[in-house]
Amino acid sequence: MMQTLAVARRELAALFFSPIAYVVLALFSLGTVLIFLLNYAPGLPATLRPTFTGVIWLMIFLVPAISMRLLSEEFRTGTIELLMTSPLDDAQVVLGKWLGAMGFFTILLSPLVVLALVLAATARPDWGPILSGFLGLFLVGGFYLAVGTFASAASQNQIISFLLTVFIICLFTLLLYFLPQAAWVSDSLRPFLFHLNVNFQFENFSKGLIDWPNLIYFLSGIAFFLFLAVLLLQSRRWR
Amino acid sequence: MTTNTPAQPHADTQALRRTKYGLNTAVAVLAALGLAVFVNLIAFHYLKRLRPLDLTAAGKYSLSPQTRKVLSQLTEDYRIVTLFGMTDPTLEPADILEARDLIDQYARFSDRIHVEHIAFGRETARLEKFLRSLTERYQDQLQPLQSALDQARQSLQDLRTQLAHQKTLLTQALSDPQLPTGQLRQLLTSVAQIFARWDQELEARLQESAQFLSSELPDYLRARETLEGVFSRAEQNFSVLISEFDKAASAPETPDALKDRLLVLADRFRESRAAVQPVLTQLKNAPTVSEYDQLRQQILSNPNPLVLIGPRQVRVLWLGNMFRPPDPAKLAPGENPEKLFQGEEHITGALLAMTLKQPPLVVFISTSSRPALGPGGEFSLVAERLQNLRFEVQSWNPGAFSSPAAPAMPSPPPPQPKPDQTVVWVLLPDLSTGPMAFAAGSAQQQAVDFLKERLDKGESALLIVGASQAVRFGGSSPVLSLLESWGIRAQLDRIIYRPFSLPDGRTQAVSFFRVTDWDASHPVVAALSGLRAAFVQASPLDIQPTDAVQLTPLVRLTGRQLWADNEFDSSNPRPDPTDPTADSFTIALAAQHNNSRLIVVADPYWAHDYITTNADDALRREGVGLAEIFGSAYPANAEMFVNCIHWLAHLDNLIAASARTQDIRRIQPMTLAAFLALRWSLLIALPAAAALTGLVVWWTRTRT
Repeated sequence: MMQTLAVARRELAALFFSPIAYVVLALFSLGTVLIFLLNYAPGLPATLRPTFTGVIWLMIFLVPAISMRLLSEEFRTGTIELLMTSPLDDAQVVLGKWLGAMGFFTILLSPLVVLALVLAATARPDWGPILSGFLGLFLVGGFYLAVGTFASAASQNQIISFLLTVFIICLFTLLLYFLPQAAWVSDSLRPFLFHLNVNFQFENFSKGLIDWPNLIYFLSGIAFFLFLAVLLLQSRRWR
Repeated sequence: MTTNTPAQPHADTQALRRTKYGLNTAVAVLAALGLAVFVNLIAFHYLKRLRPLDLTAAGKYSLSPQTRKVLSQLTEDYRIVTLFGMTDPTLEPADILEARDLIDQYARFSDRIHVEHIAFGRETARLEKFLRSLTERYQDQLQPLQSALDQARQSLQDLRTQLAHQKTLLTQALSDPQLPTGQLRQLLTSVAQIFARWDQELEARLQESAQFLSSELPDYLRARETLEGVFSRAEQNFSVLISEFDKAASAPETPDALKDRLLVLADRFRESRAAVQPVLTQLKNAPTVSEYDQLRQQILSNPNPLVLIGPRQVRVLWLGNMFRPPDPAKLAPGENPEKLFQGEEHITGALLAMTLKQPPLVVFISTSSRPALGPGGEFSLVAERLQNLRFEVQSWNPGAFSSPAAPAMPSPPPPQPKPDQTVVWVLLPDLSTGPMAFAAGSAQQQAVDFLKERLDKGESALLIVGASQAVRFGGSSPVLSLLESWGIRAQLDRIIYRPFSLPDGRTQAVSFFRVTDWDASHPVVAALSGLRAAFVQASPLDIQPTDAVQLTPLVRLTGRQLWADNEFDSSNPRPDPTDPTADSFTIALAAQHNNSRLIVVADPYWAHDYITTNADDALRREGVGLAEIFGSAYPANAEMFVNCIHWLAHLDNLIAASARTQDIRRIQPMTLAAFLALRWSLLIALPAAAALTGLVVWWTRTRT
């Protein structure tokens, strides 16, 4: 575990030394504030729910920008050989990378904390949905980063990693939004297809509900894609 | 000397190795995928039964215990389909979200509830499929009407063909050189013109009827009306034509050759009329499926319907009815008070009603000249609440109202419950005064005698009684003996007062009490926790225990130095030092004797519209009638009434859920300058902070 955390710390430091991080942070701040201000005016409900819902869409493009270099950079620079010959096993490497990215993502959410404080200063918001919304964003971010880690392990080209991550995330968002609404989809299958949609899973968190099916969805999704990333990394040894 | 060269890996071994590891990896991926899907399937089907952790301050996504109890006792499947998305100026998008969230909770807590949301205007295919399924539900009942309409439309086509042929014969007659000028020519010319217009009308009606029948929820009613009208007019027209042509054919001035033509035409008209008549009869005799027509009307007449489909019936609710909008005239500038959301009450109430094979009958027995229900009614709000919950509500006045000099009118018979229908009788207080007291007294006696008889038969009743002038002056009230037979002694010669200190130091007696503490020992009042009630003219009730009757106090007025006074004039009664004081008085009791149940509430205004429709905390005049807009100042009064009825109807497990209170917190008003400053600060400061941090880090790194 200590070794995993060491990888995570190193990754976090690398992320913060990279200019991409600050570009992403600035863009995310701007986008978040814009979404917040669309639903902020005297007399309107004092809630971050619309902001959270909008941020989820923003994350489709910003989170892959964090994850695209996690392993791709190692492949490109050749430092992957060092990692793979170190005492760390592949799972520790992948988990450490993911945790490092999660650390950065947590800091990325800081503008939302500021907005919550602004809301608290100008209204009397219900903190329950705000806290559960943060938890939901954290889980969505974790899921997207797990997808990004897998995509990063699949290619040494960061752009390809980015695009692959965005593509997979779009399957879980856009495709699974429109597909269940198609008339030819059977009524028995429709609810389960909705259930696989990330936005649908996040909805409960934004409302103030913490529900087991939602937690299991995100945790199983994170575990699955990290497992795929580990397998990809392992496959380098015998390919 | 032998040189050892390292062995080269065999290409086949490498390929085999790759295949082996590749297969292992593929199996691992499939297994992981299968596990992830399996885990999510389990969570989707089974874990959703677990209550989620509701972090909202008002618990707005948690169904009330009463609703959960209703859902847990469902034995048949119900479907809730929302058709939200239509424009309704009274609703905000957040209202629709709130309603959908609430409805989703119903599906969460019961396997018997299946919820479907169809976005009106966006999911056209799904909407059409749903509406078709509704039509198919009534297919067997609609089949005779559908056949009649199909037959009628076919006959309409045939009629057009016949008219075309008849028009040809008319044209031939018109072009006959023997046709004299004058009335006959005029007749034929005008009939030819009528035929032209008639054919156009028939085509239009044919298309109109096709339009009515082509939608997913066909409008059989209007299609039938249209076609009936067409055939009815056709029958009349042909009758007139037959008469005119026969008359013309028999006129002496008509040439013989033309007579034949006219007679032929008259025969054709007879044939057409004979063809039209059975079609018209079939249309008129085809049974109307009023349930389908009503359903269709309900779904299409109001925006944002919510359709509840049960095994025996379909009910339609409307989203707009679940919210009570504020009166804009009463708002301060910039103020946005919240609407009252009664979605849970409506939906649970509808579900409840659908589970009942026969909705209970509630009869308001009034012995007063003032109406109890309807326009000018004094108990309209509680009656409406019961009707919303699909109780059948009726009123009965057994008395005859006339002066002693005039003869009494015969009493109307009481409403009769249907077979297997539970009935609850509600005896209303006699609030009439003056000369009417004589007639009301005998009506009271009739009502009480009737109630005794019904209670002895195992039925249930709610008695609302109040202090009585007659009892005060030594007389008796018919209801007293009824209550005594149940072990209840009502002191209707007294009103309960409490001391109230005025600012000038004097003490006044007031009979107004607010009640917020409720005894959890009885379901009627246990469900009122957190709600406030008002009692304005209560009288004490004493329990005289009997073995046969189980008595439970429902409402106690509590306070320091309360007393019950026989002085009814409350303008400024002085507390009489000789009256004993008490800390509490019981003013409402529930009693049960075998299967029969009785509730008595000794305050005549307790369920009166004056209190239940008043949004005014101090019950001032300006608050009267505004409870539906601003919320009742004392919601427990109406709630308790409805709970009483449920308990008396032996539906105590299903006591209605209280209306969900809104808890929308809003951003405080601020000046435009402050708002703009905040906006621009956020827009610039946050991204700038991130960029600045990056610059500092970059600068630090380049320096080191």
